[in-house]
Amino acid sequence: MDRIPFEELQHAERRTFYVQYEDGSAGLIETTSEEPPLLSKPGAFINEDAYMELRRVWEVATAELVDALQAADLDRLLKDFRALLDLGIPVESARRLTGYDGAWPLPDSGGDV
Amino acid sequence: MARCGCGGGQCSCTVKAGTNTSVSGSGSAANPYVISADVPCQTVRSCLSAGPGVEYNAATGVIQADISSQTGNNLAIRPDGLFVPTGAATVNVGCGLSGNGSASTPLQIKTGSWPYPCSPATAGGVIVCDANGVLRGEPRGKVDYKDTAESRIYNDVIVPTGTSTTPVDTFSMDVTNTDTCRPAQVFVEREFDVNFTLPAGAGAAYGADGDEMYYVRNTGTTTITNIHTQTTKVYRQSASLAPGATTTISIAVEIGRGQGGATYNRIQSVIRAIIIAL
Repeated sequence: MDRIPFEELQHAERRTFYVQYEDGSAGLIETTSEEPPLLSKPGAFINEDAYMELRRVWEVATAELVDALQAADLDRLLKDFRALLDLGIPVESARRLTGYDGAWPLPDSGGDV
Repeated sequence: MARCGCGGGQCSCTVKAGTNTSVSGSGSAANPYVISADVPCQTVRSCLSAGPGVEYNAATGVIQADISSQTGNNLAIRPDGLFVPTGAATVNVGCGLSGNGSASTPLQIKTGSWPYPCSPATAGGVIVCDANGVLRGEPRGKVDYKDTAESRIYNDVIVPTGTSTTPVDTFSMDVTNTDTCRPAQVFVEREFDVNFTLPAGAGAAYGADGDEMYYVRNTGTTTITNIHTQTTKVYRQSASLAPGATTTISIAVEIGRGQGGATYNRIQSVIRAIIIAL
């Protein structure tokens, strides 16, 4: 009996479609179907370039949200970190307690807590 | 021959032999005229002709049966006369047939034995003759496969609050039974995955069909970005899909139990369907 590599049995024919939905979301759809996929909510097919632009905007917005959250995280950690140091807690203990693992002394503090 | 003055034991009539005839006797009662004819075969042959089923050679005078040369005609001329062989000598069977057409072994379809405990009358397949005279069995089985995967992005949507999940979006795929003869069973696998961003203390959950399948809460002190896990459900549709019919398979992804500013920015889904018509 012949042995056939499993990869040769996999369905290789897939088609990709790009969609912009009316509610502001966007989709990348891959399907084995020859026909365009069913859209589950109002929207329109767009070309790859248009989708990539939507995706770029999405990535920027998501990154901005994450940046803002992480900046708030850092402010809060530093505040806690400093508060512990103010209480005389050693730096390494303060790091473990707050989770702050950034630079110390802070570049702009000159070591002044 | 009274007008010829016949009587008294003799006749005075004159009898003359014509072509191919001869006359003997004197015309008396004791010695009457005897007229004989002697026609040559050649003369008679021109008067004869052959009808259907008869072969006539005017040159030789031979008359015999005319045997059709069409395929399938088994009538033959033998020294003892016309002869049609019985089936045993004329039937050659191919695959799937047995017998020779004689009374003792009639020609018939060769069948196998039925090895199953069920009845062939209720569980057996059907063999029919198509428009071209070819025997045909049950329709060939069909197995189809279709999948659709979608990665759908959102502009950081706040996860709904509350104690349970609620539908936020739907993913769909059409499936068609391409068998034009028989209904199909449809087996469906649906996967989904939600990307959450969780500030410290935030939590979120997702699921489907009223079933919460994933919950995560950030108990740390910093934001978790794009935390996600892919889950799946497998279904066998309880109703068959009619020949040639189409149905829509959908996932209504449910998200909820939001707290602490949890957001989601992407939902991925995969719908796979195996369509079996046997």
